[in-house]
Amino acid sequence: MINLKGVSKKYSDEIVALQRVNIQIESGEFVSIVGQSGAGKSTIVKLLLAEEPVTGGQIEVGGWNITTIRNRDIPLLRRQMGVVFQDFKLLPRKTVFENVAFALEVCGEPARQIREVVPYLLKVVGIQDRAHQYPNQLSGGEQQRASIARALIHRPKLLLADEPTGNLDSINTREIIDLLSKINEFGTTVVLVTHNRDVVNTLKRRVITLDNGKVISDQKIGRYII
Amino acid sequence: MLHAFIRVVRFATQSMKRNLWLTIATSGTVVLTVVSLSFLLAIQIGISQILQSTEKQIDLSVYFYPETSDEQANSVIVALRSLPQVTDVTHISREKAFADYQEQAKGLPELMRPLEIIGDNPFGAYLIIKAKDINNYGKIIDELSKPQYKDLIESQQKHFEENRVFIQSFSDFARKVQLGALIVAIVFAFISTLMMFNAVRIAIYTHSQEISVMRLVGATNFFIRGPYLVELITYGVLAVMIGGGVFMWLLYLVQPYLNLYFGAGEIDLWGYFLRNAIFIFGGQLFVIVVLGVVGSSLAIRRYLKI
Repeated sequence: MINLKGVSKKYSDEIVALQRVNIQIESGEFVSIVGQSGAGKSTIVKLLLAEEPVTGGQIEVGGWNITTIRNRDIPLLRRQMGVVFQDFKLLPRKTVFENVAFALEVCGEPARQIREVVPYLLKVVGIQDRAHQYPNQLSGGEQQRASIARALIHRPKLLLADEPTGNLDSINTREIIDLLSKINEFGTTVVLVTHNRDVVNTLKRRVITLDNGKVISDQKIGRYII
Repeated sequence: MLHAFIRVVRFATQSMKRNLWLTIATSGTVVLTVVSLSFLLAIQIGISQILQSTEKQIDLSVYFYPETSDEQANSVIVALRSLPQVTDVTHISREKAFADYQEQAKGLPELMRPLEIIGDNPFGAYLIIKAKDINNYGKIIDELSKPQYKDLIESQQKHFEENRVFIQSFSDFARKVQLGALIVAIVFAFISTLMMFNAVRIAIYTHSQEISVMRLVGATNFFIRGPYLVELITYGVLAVMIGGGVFMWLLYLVQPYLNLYFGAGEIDLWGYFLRNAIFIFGGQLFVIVVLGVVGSSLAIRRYLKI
């Protein structure tokens, strides 16, 4: 599913985010990428989304070679991935329904499909009764669920979660991680970027640890080691 | 595809509503561009119609001696008609010239008395010559100055010298006015391009959250950039409708004064703009949209990273 071969990323001569990183993630895996701030975790997410070009090496995601991807193919690549962030990135002037529907609208999907898919996804993430409320009327956990619903809108093979529990309390954190696990059980590959020790240790899944832009550990059933 | 286009138009409309004052300011500047471009065109058309009307009044009259026979006059007419510079030669016979004079002198004893003293038709036949261009009259005069016509032609009356001076000085004046109007139009076009650039730039900032989400979920460039292009096309359409309407209204008010000053039908700007409205305002819309596309493309390239 994901293959990083000798990937390096330099923002400038002084700022080196990744150094010859090799990571291989199979389809259906649940992988946590951990490390301290500045370790290079979020850079990997940006590279996988083709938001930033690599400085060296090669990245393949679901059959796409991101290193050589053409600009016009980037939207197609992104429709095969779902992304959730710490700050949810919900549009404040749209309701939950509209936020999720927006992802289909801007990809040119017909209104009939939007009316069918959006309520289904809101039910999957457990916020169907919040559909017509605005983000500021929801709790952090509910906002993140809405964000996950939006990320799943194109039925992606890969879900990237960049610090999804960073703004949540422990109860909501548990619920979101359970939701991600459930999504993984349905066959979606999940890459969780986090520095939450408890989350990683309770998951008992594969853990890749980064430090100073290098992979220092890759354990099949890992723990937070830094 | 249609629903995608409708969606892009909806996003553009939302953006324009959210930045209503910016929409008004941008459209207002583009309206000024439309009015100044139309004004420039009106000057151009007005000047051209004035020059055409003046040129119509220009001719050269050649008076034969009363003794010149019709055959001799005909030989001059044939020679003149063979010149490529000549468009028309009208022959006025001795009798017609005499009758015309009598008609004009009717009731004016001081003009009739010389005729009574002479007791015969003192007039010779004459020709009225029209040239293709005001500058061709010199060539025609050269032809008539040839020795073989010396004993036939009594005099020439040039009705073009004064007009030529008028046309020359009016053309110089017109060129300056046109240049001034052109500079004003270019300045407004430049300001309009900047305004549209700025409007798109602000719209991009206003929608940075939406754009960021669009990129994340895999929206195509058509959806991300489309609303801004629709926005500036709307500015163009609005501006042409308002600017064109205002300009036509002004023209409608001014036309009676042009008729009064130059004579009815001589300078018909209202009629010209009405007949060619689709081409004139369609052309302006095209120019504005091209300027807008240039402005917004610069803004999109500069501020909208896909």
